[in-house]
Amino acid sequence: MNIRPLVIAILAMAIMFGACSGNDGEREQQSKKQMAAGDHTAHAQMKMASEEPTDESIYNVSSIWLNRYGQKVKLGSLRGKVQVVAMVYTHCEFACPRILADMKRIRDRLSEEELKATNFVIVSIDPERDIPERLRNFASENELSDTNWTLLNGGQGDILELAALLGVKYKKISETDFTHSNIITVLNKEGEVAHQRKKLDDDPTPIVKNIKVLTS
Amino acid sequence: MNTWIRVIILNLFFAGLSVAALAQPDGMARIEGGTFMPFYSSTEDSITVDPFYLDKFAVTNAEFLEFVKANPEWRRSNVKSVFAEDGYLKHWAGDLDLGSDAEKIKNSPVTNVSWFAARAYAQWRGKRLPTLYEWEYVASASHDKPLASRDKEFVQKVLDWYSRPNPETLPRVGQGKPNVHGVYDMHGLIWEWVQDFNTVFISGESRGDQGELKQFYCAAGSSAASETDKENYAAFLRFAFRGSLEADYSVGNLGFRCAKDNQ
Repeated sequence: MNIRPLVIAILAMAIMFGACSGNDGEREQQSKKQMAAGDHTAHAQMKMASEEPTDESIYNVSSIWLNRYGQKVKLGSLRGKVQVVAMVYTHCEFACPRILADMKRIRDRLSEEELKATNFVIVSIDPERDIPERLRNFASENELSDTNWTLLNGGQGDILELAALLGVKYKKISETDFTHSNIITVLNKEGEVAHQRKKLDDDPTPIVKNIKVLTS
Repeated sequence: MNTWIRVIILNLFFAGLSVAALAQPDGMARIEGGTFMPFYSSTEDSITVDPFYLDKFAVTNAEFLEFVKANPEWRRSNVKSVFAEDGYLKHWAGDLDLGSDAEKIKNSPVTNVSWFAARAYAQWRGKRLPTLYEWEYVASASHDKPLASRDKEFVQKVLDWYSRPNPETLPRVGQGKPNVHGVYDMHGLIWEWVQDFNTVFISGESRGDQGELKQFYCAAGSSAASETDKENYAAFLRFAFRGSLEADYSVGNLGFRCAKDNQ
């Protein structure tokens, strides 16, 4: 019974790409992209010193955000450290506390040295309620230090853009709640997506391993 | 004294003209607000759309060429790969060259553009992309009814297009009949980006799997007998398509048009 929706979805996709796209290059491009992903780390290190963000860096966006103190921040200011990013909202009672707990668990598995090269970023998808003051309170309630945690409030369009860059989907479903992907993204020091943990119940070991490699 | 009055009257006249010009931006149709039912919803949750403006036509190759001329960072050879995958504008011959078919395609909708590029174009024009609901609302209108999702003939036409393969070159925009809002080609030409395309959940994520997603599949999977189901199926295809997109994708039959707030 459970398979039926899946089959329908797959059929629908097949129809889409068969009938409507006629787009031969699509799958090819996809695989090219995956192949290219292998070169990124080398690429990033090579370009580390240059001013311009690399082509695959999310720091190419020009959006301006507010941190928990209400100071203006560009995402590019995060460059130079490995970033562990999640998009959540602080009033969330279900998934977000678990995401935060997972981020802390990741943090606890890093050495002091690794922690110096790592920062954790929480981007609110609920900018109207998650104003800097709220973010400040949330940070102190959850003991999120200044040295390792950045909390960001931004404009609707800029949040959508960042979500698009990270492949995060979210949607307001009522006055108080959002539905959203539970993705935790690791950005390398250049701001390129290096690894993603997509589901809540996935083991944090791969993500921790990744951070260890990226910070070394 | 008389001349003063004349000057004032003239000024008022021109002020009036410019207000009229503001009220109806060039090439855009004013969409009166309204309420409609997305295909997956139950009777209780209809969606209200506020008045806004929507481009009558999809953005064409010629128009997009102007944009990349003025914004070198969006040319094919300059674009950052994080904002557009390899196929970006691949149907053009070069950065500023539509190719040997230029005459044929200049008034056809531009495709092979990523969401980021579409968004940048809209911002450059002082516009924005339409929201998913705005787009679906306008798309539910036939040439004589604002809400035609229960109209057999209209629904069949949409589905017929979905099942036709793409033509080699896309026809120029605005060939068919406009819908009741004065907007052309919402169906039958291309798929279109919307601002919040990435709010559609298609894979099991978060609480979506319990609510919205199930409604999606139920709407699409129910027995295909009645017209209601057929209309659901057409909209389901659009939602499924959006759900399968990433913002850097460049797809051969995916373009866009712009919207503007009602101010």
